[in-house]
Amino acid sequence: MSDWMMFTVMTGLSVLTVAFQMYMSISLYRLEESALWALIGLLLPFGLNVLIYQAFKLEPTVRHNLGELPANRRKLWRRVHLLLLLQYMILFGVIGWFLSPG
Amino acid sequence: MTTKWNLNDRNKARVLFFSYLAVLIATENVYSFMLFNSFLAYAALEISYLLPLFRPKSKGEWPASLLVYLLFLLMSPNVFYIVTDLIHLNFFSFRYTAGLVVREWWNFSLLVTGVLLAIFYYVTMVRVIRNLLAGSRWSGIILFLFVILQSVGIFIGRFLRFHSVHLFTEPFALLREFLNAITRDALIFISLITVLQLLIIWIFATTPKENAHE
Repeated sequence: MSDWMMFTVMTGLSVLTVAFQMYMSISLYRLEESALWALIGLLLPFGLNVLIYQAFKLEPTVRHNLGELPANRRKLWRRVHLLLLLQYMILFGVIGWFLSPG
Repeated sequence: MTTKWNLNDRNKARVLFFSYLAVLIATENVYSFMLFNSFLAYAALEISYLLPLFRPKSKGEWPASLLVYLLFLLMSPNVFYIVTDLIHLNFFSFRYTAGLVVREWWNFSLLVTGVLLAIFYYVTMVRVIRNLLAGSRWSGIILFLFVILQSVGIFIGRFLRFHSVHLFTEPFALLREFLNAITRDALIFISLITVLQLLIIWIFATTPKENAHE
């Protein structure tokens, strides 16, 4: 991978990560109206914010089955998880490039 | 919404994963590769929790749902793959008649803990899939096909040395090498891993309905 290509991929990943952190922060603040949740959403990277909210808040309310979320929440959490998976897929692509021989 | 911290199987898996990671990082051991392998297994488990959320309810939801289900299928072999990491116990000679070497048994405990966690993840993951398929008359066949796919994935990872990330970066090379590698021995390995998985499902991954008969 050329330096320019690497720079582009890493910049894209950084922009996506920062945008996701801000999106999570705003979403959690709207859901909980709590500065603490907004801070957790903003500061914990790579899905840790989603994981913590999921374990403490989301799953207990739907008896640990995300398929039972009401329609408006369902749309939000589908979007959140898709964005998160996208981050990881890009990250995996970058790691895969480094792991590939030659 | 109220905050309720319930240590059910999902949260137990999460707590155990992060604790295991912390021990691997903080202590002296020869199994540092378990860091990444455990992460991949845990990631597959977390994706399995999303399957009910991504069950499509309208036409517009299909593309995202297909992506998540495909990603889950590609990642899921990483869970049972860890069981095959037991081969790395051969890092030590275990000459137990010559005396007890604590370092050997410390590393033994670390590796076996990782394998036990992977079996726990596997059982939890299969339960999610069974719940998802509940009511379908094809559920048994779909689960069996899933188990065989796991075995094929494990074969590709263990013997062709492809990693999950190569599914994204070198999908065609991976397919080509797999087709070239199908031999009688490969089929025996795939069958053995399939039997091991079925055994674990039979012993541990019972549904509440099956338990109710006891």
